[in-house]
Amino acid sequence: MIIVPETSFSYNAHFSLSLPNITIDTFPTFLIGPNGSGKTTLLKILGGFFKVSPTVKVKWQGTLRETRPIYFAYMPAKPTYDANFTVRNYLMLSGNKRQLETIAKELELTKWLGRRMGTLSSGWLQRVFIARILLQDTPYVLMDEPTSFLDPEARKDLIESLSRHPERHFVISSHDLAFLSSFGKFVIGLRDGNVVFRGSTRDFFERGIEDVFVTGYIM
Amino acid sequence: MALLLLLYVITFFVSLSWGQVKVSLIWPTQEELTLLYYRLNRFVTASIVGAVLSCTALTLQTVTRNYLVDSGLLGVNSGAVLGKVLSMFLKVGPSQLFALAGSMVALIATFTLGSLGGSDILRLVVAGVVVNSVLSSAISLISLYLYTSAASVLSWTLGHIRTVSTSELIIMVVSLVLCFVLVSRSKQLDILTLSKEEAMSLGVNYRSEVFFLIAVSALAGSLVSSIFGVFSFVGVAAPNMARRIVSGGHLKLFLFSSIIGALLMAVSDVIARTSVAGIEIPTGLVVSFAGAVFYLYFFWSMSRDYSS
Repeated sequence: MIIVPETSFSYNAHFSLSLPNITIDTFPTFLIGPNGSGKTTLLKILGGFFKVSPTVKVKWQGTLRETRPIYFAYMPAKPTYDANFTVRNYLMLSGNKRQLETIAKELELTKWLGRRMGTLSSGWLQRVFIARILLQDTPYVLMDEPTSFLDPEARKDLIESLSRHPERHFVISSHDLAFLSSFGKFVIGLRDGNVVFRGSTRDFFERGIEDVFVTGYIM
Repeated sequence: MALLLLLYVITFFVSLSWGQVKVSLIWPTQEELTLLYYRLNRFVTASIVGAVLSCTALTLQTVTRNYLVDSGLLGVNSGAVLGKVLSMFLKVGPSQLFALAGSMVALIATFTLGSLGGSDILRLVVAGVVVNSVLSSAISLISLYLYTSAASVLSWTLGHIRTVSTSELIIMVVSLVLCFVLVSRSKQLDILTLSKEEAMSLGVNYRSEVFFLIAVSALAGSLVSSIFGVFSFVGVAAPNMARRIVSGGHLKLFLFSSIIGALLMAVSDVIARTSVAGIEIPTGLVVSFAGAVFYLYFFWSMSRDYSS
């Protein structure tokens, strides 16, 4: 459970995000909105990368605590990596040697473990990023636009991999409505730095979509 | 690895026996023993300088995510040169102390400028560029108008390996210890190849870790350049060659870069001492030239199986 207080956050004169009280208790939760609506900012506030006051609270080992980055696995929109690392080196950064073989097998990465990151195609890289996130030993996972560079088939693979881990609490920022409809359970809709919708995925498609995106949005 | 070590051992024997005078390593005379001591001193000095410059450059390359930077990034080299030039101009010494003070001032100036209006790596790097540029113009000004021998200033900017006194040796050991501090942060450096948020979620205190690493490596680099002057290129070349040979973590990269750096520097020093009879070429000049040629060959020969 993640509890967001009523607060606001601004970078500079150009962008501010105002938040009402939100309790995120159903996962996967999707942060949906057009570009520049504040999805990534909210994601970083949830993870404690950006500080707000009063602070975001996270349920961690049974008690509610002030949020901290180490409670989350975070996947940025464009992960950075050292091209010279092998896939195994990269995955080991999560510090989870025990699970490595299992997760690699699950994502069909076993034969790629010895390859250097710089030699992988973008589709395989994406799998490696997902594998690292899954290997990080935290219940909460934040993902920023994980489908933005994927073709429909790769997106299907991604959804399958994530679905194999119902024990993880995913919070995903996206504007990919097909992704939302097949994986999301709870939606926070953002527009111009305001939360304009909160509810289930079904409610979002029935009545929330036009508040978030311009009228006449074609899926 | 074995090949590198073999090359290094060969260089060790070559550097002892070659010189303006050939020395037999078996049954040397008393005179030859003295000469051997000096050559050993130089070999060790060159190796330490090469290793320190490689380790500091590797750290800064990872932290700034730019494979083309070295320990001069934050202005410590121009600071050292300015200190040295000032000490020559004012005719006070010891010049090493002035050079060290100069590079410290440059480092402090860079950190101060870099923390104005927020602190992030880009600000720090830009501040380093600014400090470098200002100090370079000061150096040029002094060497053009105030100090008569521009040649000696030029020669200082090239970097000379020479035999060192005990106190200088202590400074070098300090810079080596600083490098071990960097090596001990290998795990953190590995994580810093990820994005800032990922590093933070893996428990790295991003800001303080990065500033600590930058400060330690700039300090180690400034200790070296305050004694020996500026060596360009070796810091850029060694870690990049290491990356071609090994993949993965910084522990391995530190090991390979420092061996390659030490090797490059030791070989260059032998060439510098022996290639022209009667005079000694600055080692910094040889290392820039030989290093660049070797680097080019290296990249051409290995470019097939690796691209990024």
